[in-house]
Amino acid sequence: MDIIAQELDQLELETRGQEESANRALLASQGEPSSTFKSENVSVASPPNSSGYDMTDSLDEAPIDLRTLVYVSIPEHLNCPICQLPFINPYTTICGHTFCRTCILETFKSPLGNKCPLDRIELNYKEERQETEEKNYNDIFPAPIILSNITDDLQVRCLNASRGCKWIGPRWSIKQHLVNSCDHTRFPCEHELDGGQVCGKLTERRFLGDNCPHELFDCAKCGEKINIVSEEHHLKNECTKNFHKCNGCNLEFPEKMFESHESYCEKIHVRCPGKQYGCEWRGSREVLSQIHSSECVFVKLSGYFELQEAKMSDLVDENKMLKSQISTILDSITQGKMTNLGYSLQLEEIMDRDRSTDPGRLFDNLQDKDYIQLMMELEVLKTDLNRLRSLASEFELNKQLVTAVANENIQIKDELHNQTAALSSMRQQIQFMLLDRRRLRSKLIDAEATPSPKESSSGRFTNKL
Amino acid sequence: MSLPKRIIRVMPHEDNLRYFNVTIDGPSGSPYEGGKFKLELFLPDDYPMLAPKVRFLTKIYHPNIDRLGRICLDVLKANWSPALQVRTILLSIQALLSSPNPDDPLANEVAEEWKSNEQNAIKTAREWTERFAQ
Repeated sequence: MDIIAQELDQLELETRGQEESANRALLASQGEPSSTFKSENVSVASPPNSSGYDMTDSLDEAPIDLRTLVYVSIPEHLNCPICQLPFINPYTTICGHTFCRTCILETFKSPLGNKCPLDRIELNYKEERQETEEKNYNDIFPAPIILSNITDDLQVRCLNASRGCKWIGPRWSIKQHLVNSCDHTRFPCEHELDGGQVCGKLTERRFLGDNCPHELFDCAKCGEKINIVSEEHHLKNECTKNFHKCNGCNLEFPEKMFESHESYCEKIHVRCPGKQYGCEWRGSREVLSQIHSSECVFVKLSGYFELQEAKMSDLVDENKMLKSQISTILDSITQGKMTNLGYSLQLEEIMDRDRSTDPGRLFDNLQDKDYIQLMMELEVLKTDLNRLRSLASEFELNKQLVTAVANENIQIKDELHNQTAALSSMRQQIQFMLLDRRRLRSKLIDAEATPSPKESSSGRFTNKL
Repeated sequence: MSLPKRIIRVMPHEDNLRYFNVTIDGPSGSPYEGGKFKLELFLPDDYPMLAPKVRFLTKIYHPNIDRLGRICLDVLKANWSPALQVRTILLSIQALLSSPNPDDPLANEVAEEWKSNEQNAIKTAREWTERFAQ
């Protein structure tokens, strides 16, 4: 994941600028033919960079192509995923994605057909709805009004910026600005020429006055034929006699050469190149190159400063990319899905894990393969269970056998006790008999003093014992 | 933290802003590692409703890229969506270099080799990268 994220960052940095510029160029080129055609009508002396907004039709219907607008800054989330520009008349799908109306309708005519370009969900849509049909038939509908309000509030530059207009304002007010107040909007000149014809040349509002701005007069400096419209351009770029004095070397040059002179005049006063790092010095370019630049600490450090600045801006860029990525990921998490459109690597869906803990939905997204595997596991478990059952019954039998043996054991023990008791009684009897015999014997010894015939029989008795 | 290595470069053509010169570095861990592959990318009139046309200019040994440089990738054909961009398409192509798919081939011989003797095929891809993509 890390590697992919890094790659993404890098690529984004690299392609974004180019893609945007290309997009703009494409959009601009689509609107181009009409404006170049119009500019051909205007006098040859008009300033060359004249792309901008022209009012040729009636005031009520002045079409403004919002797609050619230049935004001061674009919050990424307000961009249509198709045209990559802030939403214009946003529409939302039932799957929750938002596009410009024209973009999504154009998509329906493309090979993708009636599907959401982000998650490919089928969308029902009919361009011309019949009155009899159900009202909620369409799966796309206007986005919440707040979204239009936010995008309409985005700051844009005037379409006449290249003609010199500095206006910046909310998008909703651009039309009003262009039609009613912008000095650089061009209108057809309505003054009548000598022959009774209407002039008709497209002219910026600031030149329109009581007289036709296309009336030629002689340039006060060089005598060349000019008019009000071309005067500014003429004095700055063409007139050879419009002199301007240089503050450094006190020599006079025509205005058109002045810029190039300023870039090489040795006497002109300039600021130290280290001024952005804090050097206050100013003086002629001569002194700068010969003395100051070898002394100034700021100049010496500027290399280091530049390196630091480059690094810093790299980091800022990187940070921005990472932030945007995090917000995209958070978005997809809150929406409950990770779309991996365009990437062949499968992203793990976080929601799936939650689902697996809910037994009711466990089988929702099972595929055939998974099903077969599960069935096999079930079979294995069943045979295991059977084997265990037979083992259990065997165990029961063994247990009975053991209790039988134990019972028998107790019986034997009892019997043994009886035997021991019998034995001890017999021993007592014998002892009693032995005592009896000793008594008899002592009697015999007493009698031995007087010998008796019984001696032999008592000797036999002893022998027997 | 240093900036990641530059991996894909895109430059619009001077004469035609719809035409781009693209260079993709072979992804690390693939037999194309170390190679720099040149591609051409063209945005048709109906872009973004139609997919951009992309073709390899550098010779490459890959089951989904034929010898004319044409690429077999779903998002370039049937699965194109107007919400995709040049950026996402080029990322997909780079991912295709990381994971060749011989089961959906465009260059049949390469795909056969890939299936029957993958070791050898990867070796050939590496050789081609060294020979043509430097």
